[in-house]
Formats: sequence, C-alpha cells, structure tokens
Amino acid sequence: MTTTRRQFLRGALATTVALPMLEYFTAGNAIAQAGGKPRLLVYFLPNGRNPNWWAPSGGNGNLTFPAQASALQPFANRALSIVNMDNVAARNSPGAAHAMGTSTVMSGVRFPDLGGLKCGITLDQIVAQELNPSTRFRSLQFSAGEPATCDVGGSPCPYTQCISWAGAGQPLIPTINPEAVFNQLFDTSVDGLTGASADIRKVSRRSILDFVRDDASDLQSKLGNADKAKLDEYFTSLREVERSLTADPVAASCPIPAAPAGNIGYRDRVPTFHELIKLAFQCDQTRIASFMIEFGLSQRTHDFLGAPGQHHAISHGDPGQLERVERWHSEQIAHLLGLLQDTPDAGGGTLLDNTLVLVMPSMGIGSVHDHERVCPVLFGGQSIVNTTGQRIDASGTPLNNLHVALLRAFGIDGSFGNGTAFGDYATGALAGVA
Amino acid sequence: MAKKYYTALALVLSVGCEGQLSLSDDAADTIATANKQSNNQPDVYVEGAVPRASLHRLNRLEYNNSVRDLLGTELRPADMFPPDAAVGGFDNASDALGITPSLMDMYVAAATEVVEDAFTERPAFADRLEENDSRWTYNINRDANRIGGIVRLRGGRTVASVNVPEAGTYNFIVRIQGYVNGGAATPSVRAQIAGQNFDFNAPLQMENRRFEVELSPGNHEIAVQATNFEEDAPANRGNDLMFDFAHVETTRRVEGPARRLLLSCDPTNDSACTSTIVQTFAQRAWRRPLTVDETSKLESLLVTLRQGGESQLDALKLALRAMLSSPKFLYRYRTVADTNSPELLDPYVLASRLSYFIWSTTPDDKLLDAAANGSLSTPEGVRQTVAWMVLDPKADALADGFAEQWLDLRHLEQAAPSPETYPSFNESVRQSMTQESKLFFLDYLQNNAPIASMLEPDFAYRDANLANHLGLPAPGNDGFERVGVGPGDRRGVLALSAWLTSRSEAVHSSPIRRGAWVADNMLCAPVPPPPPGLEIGELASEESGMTLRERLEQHRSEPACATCHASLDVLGMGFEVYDGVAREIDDPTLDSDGEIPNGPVFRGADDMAANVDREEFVTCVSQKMLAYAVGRPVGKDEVRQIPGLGNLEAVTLSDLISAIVLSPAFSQPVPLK
Repeated sequence: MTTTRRQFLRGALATTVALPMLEYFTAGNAIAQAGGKPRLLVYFLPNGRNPNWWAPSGGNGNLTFPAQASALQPFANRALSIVNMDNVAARNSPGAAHAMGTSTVMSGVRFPDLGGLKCGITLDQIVAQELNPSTRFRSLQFSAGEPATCDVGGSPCPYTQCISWAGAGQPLIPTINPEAVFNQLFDTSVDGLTGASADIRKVSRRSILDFVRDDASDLQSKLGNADKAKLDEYFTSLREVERSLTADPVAASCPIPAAPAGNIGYRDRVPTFHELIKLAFQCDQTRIASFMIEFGLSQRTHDFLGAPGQHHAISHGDPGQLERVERWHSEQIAHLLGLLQDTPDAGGGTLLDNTLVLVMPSMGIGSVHDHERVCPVLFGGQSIVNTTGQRIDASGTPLNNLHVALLRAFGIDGSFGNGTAFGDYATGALAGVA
Repeated sequence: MAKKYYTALALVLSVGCEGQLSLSDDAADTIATANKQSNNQPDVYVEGAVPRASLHRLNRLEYNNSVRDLLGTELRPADMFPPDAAVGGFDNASDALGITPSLMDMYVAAATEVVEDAFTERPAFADRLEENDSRWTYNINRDANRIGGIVRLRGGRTVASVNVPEAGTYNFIVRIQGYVNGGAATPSVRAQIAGQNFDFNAPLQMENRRFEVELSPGNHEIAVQATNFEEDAPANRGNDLMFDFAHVETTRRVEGPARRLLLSCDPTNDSACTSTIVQTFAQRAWRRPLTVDETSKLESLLVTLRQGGESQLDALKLALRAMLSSPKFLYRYRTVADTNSPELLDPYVLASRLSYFIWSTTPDDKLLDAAANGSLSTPEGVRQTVAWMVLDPKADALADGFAEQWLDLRHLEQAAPSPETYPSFNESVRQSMTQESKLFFLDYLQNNAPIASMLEPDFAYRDANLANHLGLPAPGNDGFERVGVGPGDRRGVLALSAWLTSRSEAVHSSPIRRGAWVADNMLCAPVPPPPPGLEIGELASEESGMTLRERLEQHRSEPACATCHASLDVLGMGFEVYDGVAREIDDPTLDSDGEIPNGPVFRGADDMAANVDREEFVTCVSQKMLAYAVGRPVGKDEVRQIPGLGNLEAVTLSDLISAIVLSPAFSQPVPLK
C-alpha cells in the first residue's frame, strides 16, 4: 500500500487536518452578491418528528417551542409553524413507510408501484428550473448521512437517500463528503497554474468539454431510443459543469476557509455541512440547496447523546433515547439558523432574511408512521412567506397545498408537473403561508 | 435430507402476507401472480423486466478499478462520489445509476487527479500505516480514543512492524499534533524505527515530521509514543497527542505508472507518438475499436490543444482527461451499429459485460483480444474465456461487488454494537468479520465445492481476532486460516458473523431483522413492507418481564402485522443462540426455537441448514448472482432460463458464472428499444 484514500483526500489540500472541525471556518466579513427572490434551503429530518417535542404553540407573533426544541426559541419570531398536514401521496403509495415518506414529502407524487425509479420533480427543483438563478451551481444537494440499510421492502435506495428529484427517474443523490463539497465549491484553481499558463489552460478545459459534448452527440446518434433519452442526463450535467467553469469564480471577498477533512465523525459533520451551506449562500455559489441531516430510515446511533440505539429502532421503541436525538436535531437547526442570521447579505439584511429554510420531517410521529400529521416549520425569507411567529393548523389539508403556496410565493404559478398543480393531491394553495 | 419446507415459507412471505394464497402446482408462478395482484410488490422484482435502457453507468467500485487498471493509479477518487443507489440489494442496477451535475463535476475533477497521479514521480517503495491499520498494537484502547481519522494517544504507545524490500535511505514520516490546555507542558513524542529514537516536541497543528534513516531489507519495528502525558482535571490542565499515521518510504524515486502502462514511445516532442498513445488509450478506456471519425476527432483535439499553447505532454494529459470524461468511458452501452450474432451480443459489448461482472473493472488487453479474434463470438469461446477469467486474481472483485452486498458486509460497516454491552467487539473484529465472509465466498471460486455446500461446509475461516471474539479456538498462525469443521461445529453461510451482527440492534439481537434477511437473501422470498398507515407498536422492553418470544407475539398481535411477522419472527428466533455480535450463547435453556412454516423446529445455523432444500437455496444464489450480473432485479422465470446447470446440488460457483453469461438475460441481443 503506497497511497490511501485519505492521501487522495488530502492531496490537493496540504493544510488539511482532521480535527477539530469548526476551527477551520473563520467568520468572514464578505457579503454575498445576490438579490431578487430569497434563497431556498430544504432541511430534511428522518424517522418522523414527535409534534409534542417539535411543533410550537401560540402564534400571532408569539410562538413558543416545546422544551425539546427550545434551541429554536430565539428564532420564534422568524418562524412559521404548520401542523397537521396530510401527506396523501405517502399514504396512497405502496412502499415501506419511510421510503414513501422521504420520497413524497417534497415531490407530492403518488407511487403506483416501486419498479424503476418513480417519484417526480421536487419543490426545490421546480424553483431551480423556473427561477434559473445565474449562480455557479443551479442547486446543490448535501447529506451528513451514510448509506445503510435502505432498500427495505423493495423500495430502491434513492427513495430514502434523496430529497431532491429533477423528475421521475432522476434522483439528485446528495454529496455526503464535506471535503468533496468544499472542493466543488471553492477549489477554482486552474490545475494549480497561474499567469499565462492558467489562461492557456482555461481555454484548454473548454476545448476538452467541447470535445466531450461532441463525442457524446456521436454516441447518442448510435443509441437506441430509450438510451438516447437516458443520455440526456449526461448533457444536462455537462452543461452545468460548463456553467460552473465559465461563471465568475468565487469572489475575492468570499471568506474561503481551509478545507474540512473528508472523514469527520457525524457529530461534527452536521455543523460542518451547516458552515458549507452558509458559505455556498454567502459566496453566491448557489441559491437553492437541500440538506438531509441523515437519510430516511436512518439507523444512526448517537452514542455522544447517550442514545446508542439505532435511530429508526428507537423511533419505535425507546422514547427516552429518541427525545435526546430529536432535541439534538433542533439544536442543530438552531446552529444553522444562527449562522445565517449572523452573516450579512450583500443586498442588505442577513442571509436568514433572504433565505427561506423549510424544515421538513419525513412524517409525523415515527412510531406509528403517521403521514397524516406532518409538521413542517419555515424560517427566514420573510419577504415572501409569513415567517413572523405564526402557526397554521392545516387540519388535514394535503401537504401539497403548502408546496403550491410556496411556489406561488416564489412567483411560480401552478402550470407544471402534471399540468394543474403540484404533485398528485393539491387542492389549492394553503392559506396564510404567503 | 428434509425437502421443500421453505417453499411454503416463500409463499407465505411473498404474497404481501395477506393470506391471499392460491396454491398452484408451480410455486413461483403463484408468487408472481399474487404479487401483481397484491400491489405490494413492484412487478420489476417479479418479472425482471428488461431495463428501459441499456446504458449502464459505472458504479463507484467499477470506476475506481477502471482508472486503476487504465492508469496504474492507486487513488480511489470514486470514494468521494455520492453513493450509488442500490436496487434489489445491489448497487449496479442500470436503471438506478444516473449522472447528476454534482457527479459530472466530480468526474471532471477525478479525471484530472488520476491522470496527474499517473505521471507523477514517486518513491520506489512506500508504506503508510494509518492510525486504524490492523498492524498497529496500541497499549491504550484505540477504539475508545478515535476521533474522526485520528487517535488520542493519552500517554500511550503504538507499535507495528513494516517490511521494506531494499536497502537504502528511507524517509520515516509521522503525522501528529499536540494539544495543550491550561498551561500544561508541550507534549513530547518519541518516534522509533529500527532501534533509532527521534524525540521531539509535538507541533500544535497537524503536521508531518520527517526523519531520514538507513534501512536494511526486511522487517523493522516502528513505534510512536507520548512521553510526557499530563492530565489534571481539577486544575483543568492537560496535554495530549493526536496521532494520524506513520509512513515509511524509500528516497529512491521512480516514474509514475503512466510510463509503464501508456508511454510506448516518448511523446515529449513527438506528435505522432502522442497520437498513438491517445488512440491506444481510447480503445482501452472506451472498450472498443475506434471509428475513423473518433480517431480524427481525437487528432483535432490534440491539434487544438497544441495550437492553444499546451506542450505535447500536457496536450496528451488533457486528451486523457477528455476521454475519461466522455460518456463512452462513464457508461457501458450498446449501439445500433453493433455486430451482434443471432445468439450473442457484439463481442466488445459482451467483453465489457463479462469484465464488469466478473472483475468489476475494464476489460484488459487479453479480453479485448478475445473480442477481436472471434473468441467471444461462439458459446464455446465464451465458456473458455470465462474459464480463464475466473482464475484471474481480478475475479476477487466478486467478493467486493457481489459478496459484500449479498452477505451484508456493507451494512456491517455501519453497524454500531454498544461498547458497554459488547466490549469484545471493536474495529479489528469488524474487519475480521468482513474478511471471514469474503474468504468464505472466495473459497467457492477457488476450490470448486458445490454452492449447495455453503449451508454445511467442511471448512471455516478464522483468525485470532475473530476466534477470540467468538470464543472459538484460535489458529496458530497470524492471519486467517482455513480450518476443517464438521457437524455441530460453527460453520456455513447461515453462521457467518457479519450478517448476524449487521442484522442486530445496538444492544441486542433482532429476530425480526434476521428473519427478514434470511428470507430475502437465503430464500429469495423478500418481505413486503408493512401496509401503509399500519400502527407499528413498540417491542416491549426486557423489563416487562415477558420473554422475547412473548414480546414478539405481543408486538404482532395486530392481525395486519401477524401474517408477515408470524413467519419472520419465528424464523429469526432460531438464530437467538447468537448474540448481537454473533457470539454463540452457551445456555441450553435459552429459547432459540426457530420455525420454518410447515417445517421442523430448528436451533441455530447448522440445524436450519439441515432443513433447507438444497435446490431452492442454489436457485436463490443463482437469482442473486444473475441480478448482479445483468445489473437489474430478475425474476425466477429468468433464473430457470439459465442453461445447462444440470444437477443443482452439484453446481459450483464457476459453473454458475459460466452458465449465467450464456443465459438470455446476459448475452442475448434483445432488440434495442
């Protein structure tokens, strides 16, 4: 053995060290360079959420989070809590509850069966397509999770490992390695060259992509029809790469920190991803992102919380341990919100002012796989959403109605997807959101 | 030998467990029909429908192996790619493997890394021992002190032996960081190699410290030790050492592997040479002969790069990067221009299929030659090709691709047995469990015992680590040993420690999860998910005073649960003799009575194995391997179409592989849609 994976991870970044994580991110003074509609971050929580430990009471500018979510209290007047949304799509889909919950909460699509990869375009991807922001990356997907048992009961893994879909058959599997995310966002060097050589290389890299696109067209002309269609995903992806190569590189004002290590333990990996999300927004690398704190059906153990049981197992069997995990999740969300709130935005205000954070659990309480009482909470982005300490009891309104309301808030009308409204069960826009 | 017990089980489990059995003569057909009706199972798992597209993206393992074989790199860039989606238990299903913008971005970056690496000069010999390398012996509890990829030494010492092949000057590098709190002394370190001591104060950032030593060929002891550890909690004062790795490399440098693998001539000032290298590489990377058009486009790319101001060598490297970013490398594919014969696919398409099935990597020159010279154009030629392919060391990749997934080794990586409940489980035991399963599987490739004997084999693999953990006699030598076993001994696929551990909870075994695993992976009767909206109650705790069996019965008291769980739970109960980390519990009073529906009560792996129908077991293994081979879930009907298996009880793994590649699902040129 002469080299290892970690040598590769470190190869490009000689200064990288393995711990502790947060020291690598120094607060910067730079401000982002964006305006217009707020950014969108979908923040996913697996294995459901007990409303008693999660959903705030009160409203009308005066929300009170339960003790288990008290970390979120400082953001109460930046929040909009919605309780009792009915995820009809999940209930009417045939697969295992966690796979169906995870894959429908943002798509709203009923699965007729589990064959192939069904699902459909998700809220964040509609926003990305319709607004088509000019950032280096149109959207990004992250997760602190690690692949584990996922294809339960015949549900393919993307049904639990993915919260963003570009359409049926097109899961946008999140990047799980923080160092890979960092390199993607901030390693804009031109093969390590400078000066005239770098200018030459920039042109060469374009030539390579031109060649590759041409070569792909050559291949496409020789494929069967089904394959021709599938190769479209390659062209789409290649266009995004060209866009990221030609877009303005990271602004000099952007506070690029040292890279995090790729093998950070879970406890530190979650806040590291928060820092990366903040930086991606702050440096205007993307305006639309999704983050899964863990994958659907997560079996993660949380020894550091005194919750050594597997998350999914304790969601059915050990309320004591589960409470510690859900409390920690709330603290993590508060960490991210704090970062966004403490970072000034270029157009004025803070990142939180200009970022709509949609915290979406996979279902209501996990022990009974309750798809009928899903309780999302929104933060920030108050220019388009009533995130002013409000609470809406949806009383069983289809979850898709929230998505319709959010799309309208983004200025996107309902003529997409199947032609009428979001997903399969929307009956209109949920009142009181926008 | 008892027969046909779990055929009945398969029926019970596969119809959505809703009691809508309509027994017919042919069990499998019944399953298929019932599944379609129940709407609980996707028909793709029953019929194994031909995938919508033949375009088949390389998965992470295949990508890593391909760039290794094309460029000689040992980097594994795909380890950083997003995870590949598994469908039906395997992560090589073509329908589930797509390309996203993020992944494309990483392909472009990875191509740069691996090409650069192939041309980079390096030490003639180097050996890195990461902190978790199994060769280290720590005098502290390593697992309790691991943080991310480093170990807190806490005053301890770690020692290992490295073997160097040649005499010469070596660099001995230790990567380490000191930590100081409350005015404690700067931590100091002693690094040792071959009896020489190097004492130094630890840097307060993670740094490499390099020492030059002369070494003779052979084994040398290396060690890293904290020499002034301090811990004074009341005074909030202390220091510590964070150890990452030690590295030994000779100062003698050699050229990168590109010289040996790619540079048949010197491209420095020779454009004809560069073109030759590029064209040769393209045929290997794209796994087919080049068309005239492709040759000319590669040529114009080189010209464009040169005219843009790149040197000849840089133009070559950039062209290699382009080829590795092309869909012709990233996907396997069929085209309308293929030269299929009536019964067999185009020989180059077939070569790629064989290569990624058996080797998980790109075809080598010998296999491409077989495609070129007509060897892959007849069934007999294909059989002969497979015969030498399975003997190639690259066939060990079946353990990394197939067995890792079939025997649940990837889930073992994530398993987190509680250190309090199971103190004897640690990272070394986890590695040994993985190795046990892989060696067990590969033995069938090497020694040609019938697949059926996986249930009651006459051998087992153990090393001291695993044997001590399991409470079995340890082998005399270092490393794993193949030991003879017989009836009553711990043996067989059902007793492998990896799946028994990965299908347990953190603090106890799990009859439900084990039952589900056996049903799916040994019997090919996967359990449908609970119906939507079903209330999943808690399994009562041990404090309830009820036995596990009583708690399971209470847990499935809801009629909607009972139909599935009644079969699953009692199946899993038979494995209760193994605790949550696969150790056999020596307690005759322990309730471990498992049941196969309509079959006898069994206790433990060997007892169940005796009652499993051999033909049905071999059929299940065939179904799993066929699904892996063709990259999509397959149905029993396609398994039956595997030709020439003959007596199933006698079929070996090589027989099966050879038969699979000649089955319609693998090699028949179905029309492109």
